[in-house]
Amino acid sequence: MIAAPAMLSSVLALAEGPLDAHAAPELRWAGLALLLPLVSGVLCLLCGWMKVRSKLPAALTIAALGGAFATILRLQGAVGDTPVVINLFDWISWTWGDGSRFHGFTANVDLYIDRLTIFWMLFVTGLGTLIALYASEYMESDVGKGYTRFFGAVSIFLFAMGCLVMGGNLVMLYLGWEGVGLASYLLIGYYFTKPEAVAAAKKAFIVNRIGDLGLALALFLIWQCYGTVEYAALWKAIEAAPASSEWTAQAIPWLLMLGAFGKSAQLPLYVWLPDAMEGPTPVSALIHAATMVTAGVYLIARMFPLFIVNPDALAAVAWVGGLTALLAATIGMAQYDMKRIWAYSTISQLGYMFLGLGVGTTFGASYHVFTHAFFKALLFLTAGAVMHGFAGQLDIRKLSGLLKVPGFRLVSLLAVLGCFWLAAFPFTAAFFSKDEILVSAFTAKDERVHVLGWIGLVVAALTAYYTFRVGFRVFFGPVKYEPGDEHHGHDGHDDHGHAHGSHVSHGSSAAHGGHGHHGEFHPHGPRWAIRVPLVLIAVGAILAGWPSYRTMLNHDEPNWVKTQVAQSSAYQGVAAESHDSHDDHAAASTAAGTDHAHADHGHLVLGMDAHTAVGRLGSLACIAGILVSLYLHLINRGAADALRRTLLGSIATRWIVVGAERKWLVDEFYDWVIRLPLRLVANILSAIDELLLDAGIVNGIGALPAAFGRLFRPLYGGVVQGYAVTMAGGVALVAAWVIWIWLRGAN
Amino acid sequence: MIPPLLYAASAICAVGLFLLLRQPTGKARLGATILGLAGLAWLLVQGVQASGAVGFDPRVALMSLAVAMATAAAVRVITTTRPVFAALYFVLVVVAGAVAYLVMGAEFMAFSLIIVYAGAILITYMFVLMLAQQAPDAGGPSVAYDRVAREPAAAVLCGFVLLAALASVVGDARTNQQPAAMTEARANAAAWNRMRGMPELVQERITAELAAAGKDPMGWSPAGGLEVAQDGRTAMMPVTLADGTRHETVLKAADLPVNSTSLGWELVTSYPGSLELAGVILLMAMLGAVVLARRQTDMAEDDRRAAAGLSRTNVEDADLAGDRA
Amino acid sequence: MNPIDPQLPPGDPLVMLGLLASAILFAVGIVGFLSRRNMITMFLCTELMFQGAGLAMISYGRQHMDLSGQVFVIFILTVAAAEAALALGLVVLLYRRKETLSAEAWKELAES
Repeated sequence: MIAAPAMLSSVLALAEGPLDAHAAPELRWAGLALLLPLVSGVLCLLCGWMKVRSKLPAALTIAALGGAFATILRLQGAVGDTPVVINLFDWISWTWGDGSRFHGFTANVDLYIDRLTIFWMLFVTGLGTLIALYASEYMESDVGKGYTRFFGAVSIFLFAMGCLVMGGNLVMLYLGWEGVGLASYLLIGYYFTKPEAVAAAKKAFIVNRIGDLGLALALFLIWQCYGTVEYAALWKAIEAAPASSEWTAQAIPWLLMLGAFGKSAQLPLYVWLPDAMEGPTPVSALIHAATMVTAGVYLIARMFPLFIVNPDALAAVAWVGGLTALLAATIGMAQYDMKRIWAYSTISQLGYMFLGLGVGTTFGASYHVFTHAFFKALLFLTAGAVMHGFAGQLDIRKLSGLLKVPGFRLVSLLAVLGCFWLAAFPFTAAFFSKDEILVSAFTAKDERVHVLGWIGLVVAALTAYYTFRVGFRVFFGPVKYEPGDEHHGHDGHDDHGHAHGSHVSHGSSAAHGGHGHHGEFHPHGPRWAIRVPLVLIAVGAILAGWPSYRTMLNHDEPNWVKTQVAQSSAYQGVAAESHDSHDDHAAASTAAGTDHAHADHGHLVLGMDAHTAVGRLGSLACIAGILVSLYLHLINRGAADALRRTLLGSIATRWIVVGAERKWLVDEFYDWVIRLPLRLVANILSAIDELLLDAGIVNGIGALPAAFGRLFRPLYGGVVQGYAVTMAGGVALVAAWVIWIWLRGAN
Repeated sequence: MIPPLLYAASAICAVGLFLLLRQPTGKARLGATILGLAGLAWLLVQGVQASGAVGFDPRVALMSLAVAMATAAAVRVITTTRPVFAALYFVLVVVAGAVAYLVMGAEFMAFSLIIVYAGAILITYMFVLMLAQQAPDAGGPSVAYDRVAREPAAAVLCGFVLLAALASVVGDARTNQQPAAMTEARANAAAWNRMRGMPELVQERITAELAAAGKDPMGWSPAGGLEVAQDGRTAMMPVTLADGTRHETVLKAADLPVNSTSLGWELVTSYPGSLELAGVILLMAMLGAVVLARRQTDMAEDDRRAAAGLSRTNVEDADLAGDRA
Repeated sequence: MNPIDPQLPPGDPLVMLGLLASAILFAVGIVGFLSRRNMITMFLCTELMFQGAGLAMISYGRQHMDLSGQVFVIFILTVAAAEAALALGLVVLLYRRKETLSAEAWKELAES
C-alpha cells in the first residue's frame, strides 16, 4: 500500500520524457496515450486471471481510452509546427566500427509528435473510446466469458496503434504494425468456436504476413540506403541525397507499398477484409473500418518523401487505389449481407485514399481517412445495433422499414445519415474529401493517372447506388423482418423467454438470443450505451466537414486538416512537386491553407475549373446513383429482381451478375493459382519429411540398434553358450587385433 | 614361423575339428581325423622349425609325441558323445601334459598334475557323472544333448581365431627373447643364490666334492662365501680343511638343488601370501561344496526353527489369515 | 612377423612346442565349451583350458629359466580344484531340479 504512490510516480516518470526546451511542456505527457491502453490491457489480463464476472474490463478500457483521448486533445493544442521527438527510454543502440552513419543502429522507444501524428491519434483514440463504450453493451451477453478477452484485445489494439502512429522510428512502427495485426487476429477469431471465424482470422493474419514481409524488407533497405530508421534523421538523410538510382533505394517505395496494401486491404491483398466481418461488429467498426486499415495510408503519408522521388511507384499506388475502388464497388453492389457490403465499401473508400496518395494529395487522402472513419464507424455500429436487436439478422432482403420499428428510429435515422455521407452527398464531409482526391487526380502532373479521375467518378455513382440500396431496403418501405439465426452462439441463455418481453428493465441479461426458434419475435432496441456513441459519432461525422465549411465561407481561412498534414513529412516535397510550381504560393502552402482553386488554374476539366467540374460531376453521380437506387429498391422493389433475371437471362450479360455476386471469383482464383500450388508443394515436402526424414532417417537410425539387436538375439536365448560365444569371439577378435597391431609395430 | 602358413595350418585343424564335431561315421570320420592330425603335424613342424633347432633330439620327439597325444585326446574329449569317455580322455590329456612337463624339466609339477588332476579332480567328475547321468545301457545310444554339437561352426571359428592369434605370439616369442646365454647366466645366478639359503645342502655338496677330490671330507670349516663364476655354471667356495690347509672347492651345476627343492624354496620365500590365499580358496571351496551338496528341502521358516531346536515364532494362523485378507 | 633373425641363438624347440600345445588346448577347450550341451562336459572343457594355461606357464618358465611359472601352476591347480568342487556341486544341484544335464534346460534364467 505504501509502495503504491511510489509506483505511480515511477509509472508517470516513464510516461514523462525529456523534451526540447522550446516545445510546449504539455508534450511530455504524450507517453500517457501509449501507457494508458497498455495499463488497461494488463488490467484486463488480470481480470481474466481473477475470473472477474462483471463489466469491470469495459469500464477500465473506456476509462483508459478516454484518458488517452484527453491526452491527445491536450496535445493537439500544444503541438507546434516543428516535430518533437520524445524519448521515453532507450532500447536498441548498437554501434560498431567508428560509430558513424552505417556503423550503428539506433531504435529507442521514442515518440515522434507532429501535427500528422496528433491528427491521426485524435480520431483513433476518440473513436476507440466511443466504440469501447458501444461494445460494453453490445458484448454484454459475453460477460464473464469472452468479455475480458475482448476488451483486453481492444486495449492491446489501441496500444499497438499508438506505437504505430506515434513511434519515432520505423522499428516502433513495425512493432505497432504487428501489434495491430495481432489484435486484429485475436478479435476476428473472437468467436473461436465458429469455424468461419477461425478461418477468417487465419486468412487475415496470413494475407497480412505478405504485406508485413514487404514492410520488413523496406525497413532493412531503408537502413541500408540511409543508415537510420529514425524519422528525424531519415528526413535529413533523404534531403541530403534524395534520388538514388540504386535498385535498393528504388525498391523501398514498392516494398512499403506492399505492406500498406496488405494492411489496408488493397487490390492483390484485399481478400481478408470481407471475411474479417466474422468478428464482433464493434471490432469491424473500430479496426476493420475506421482505424487499423488506415495504417497503410498513414505509412505512405508518413514515408511520402520516399515516394515523391519515385513517380512510377506513386502512379502504381494511384492505379491500385483506383482499381480497388472500382472492383470493391462492383462487388458491393451485388452482396446481400449488410456488414459485407460495408466491408466492400471500406475497401472501395480505402482505394480512394490510395488514389489520393498516388496523385500526390496526402491532404486529400488524410482528410478522407478522417471523414471516412466517422461515417463508416457510424454505418457499422448501426448495422451492429440492427444485428443486436434482430438476433444476428444482416440479410438486406429480410429486413425492411426499420424506421417504423419501435426502438430503432434513432438507429435508422443515423444509419441513413451515414448513407448520405458514404454516398458523398453534396456538402457532406465525404463530399469535400472525395472532391480533393478527384481534383488532384484530374490535375496531377502525371498524365497517366488522369483517367483515374473518371474512374473515381464512376465509383462515386456506384457507391451512391449500393449505399442507398442498403438504406432504402432496410430502413424504408413496409415493416417486415425475420430474425436471424443468432450467430453469436449464446448457448448459456435459458432466460430469453421472458427477457425479450422486458428487456428495458431487465437489462443485463442481453435478451437477443434464440428468438427465432420459438414464439413471436420481438426485436429490442438498443439502450443508452449504444445510442450515446452513435449520436456522438454522427455528430463527429457532421463536424468532420467543418474545416471545409469554414474554408468555403472564408476563402482565406486555411483548411484545418491541411494545416495538420502540411506540417509533417507527408508534405515534404509535395509542395515543390505539384502545387507550388505554378505560382508563388510556396510559402503559403507550407504554412498551410492554399486554396486549390487558385493553385490549379492551369487544369481544366470539361472546360471548367477542376474544382467546379469535379464538384458538379460528383454531385451528379451521387444523385444519379441515389435515384436509381430509389427506383429499384424503394418504389418498385420487384424491378431489381426483374433486372437481375433479365441480366441472368442473356449470355452476354450473365457474367456481370454472377461475377459480382461471386466476388469476381478472386478467392477462387487465389485458391487455384496460389493456394493449390503451395498446398501441392507442402504436401510433397510433407511426404518427403514423413517418408524420407521421419521414416527413413530418424526412425531408420532409431531402428538400427533394434535391428542390430535382432541380429544377435539368437545368441542370448538364455543358453550359457550363447553368451560364451560372444565373449570368446570378442576376446578372440580383440586378441587378434591387438596382436596384429603389435606385430606390425614390431617391424 | 611364417604367418600365412601358420594360419593355413590352423585353418586345416579347424576344418578337421569342425568335421569331427558333426559326429561323422566310417570313412568320413577317418578322413576328418587324418585332416586334423595333418594340420596339427604341420603346425608342430612349423613350431620346431621356427625354433631354429637342427638335428634330431629325442626330447623334442618325446615332446612332440606328448603334444600330439594331448591334442588328440582333447579333441576326443569334446567330440565323444559320452561324458564318461570324455572324462577318461581328459585323464589322457593330463597324462600327456604331465609328460610334456617332465620333458620341460618341471618334474614336481608333472607328478602334482597327475595326482591332483587325474587322481582327485577327475575322480570327482566321475562320481558326479555317476550321480547325475541317466546312464544309458552300455553300448546303447547316449542322450540327445550329448550327441548333437551346438553351433559347431561358430564355436570352431571363435576357437581358431584365438588359436591363430596365440600362435602368432608363440612364433614371435622366439624373436623377442634374450640370448639364451644371458638368460642361462641369470637363471644360474638365481639358482646359486637360492643355494646360499640352504647351508646344509651346501655342506653336503662340499663334503661330496672333497671326497671326490680325495681330500679329507671330515672336519672342514668354511673359509668364505660361495663365489659364483662368471658364466654361472660353477661356483667356488674356499674351505679350511681339518689339517688346516685351505682348499677351493668347486661346485658344478649338478650340485644345484633339484626341482622340487627349488620350487618349495621359491614357494615359501617368494609367494607366502599367495600360498595362504590358495589355502583359503580351498577351504572356501570345501565349505561351498558341503553347502551345495546338502539335500535342499522346502521347509517353512517355522519348521526350520523347530528342526534347529529353536522356539517356534508365535505367529498365529488367524493373524496370517487376516493379513492375507 | 619377423623372419628368423640368424643373429639370435637357436630357440628351445621344447618351449615352442609347449606353447603351441597350450594354445591348441585352450582353443579346443573353448570350442568344446561352446559346442557341448552337457554341463559336465562343459566343465571338462574349462579344465582343458586350465591345462592349456598351465602348459603355457611351464613353457614360459622354461624359456626364462624361472621357477615362477611352475609356482603359478600350483595356484592354477588350486583354483581348478576349487572350481571343480563348486561347479560339480552346482551341477548335481541343477540335475536334481530338472533331471537333465542339458544347459539349455535352464534357458529361463535369461532376462526377458
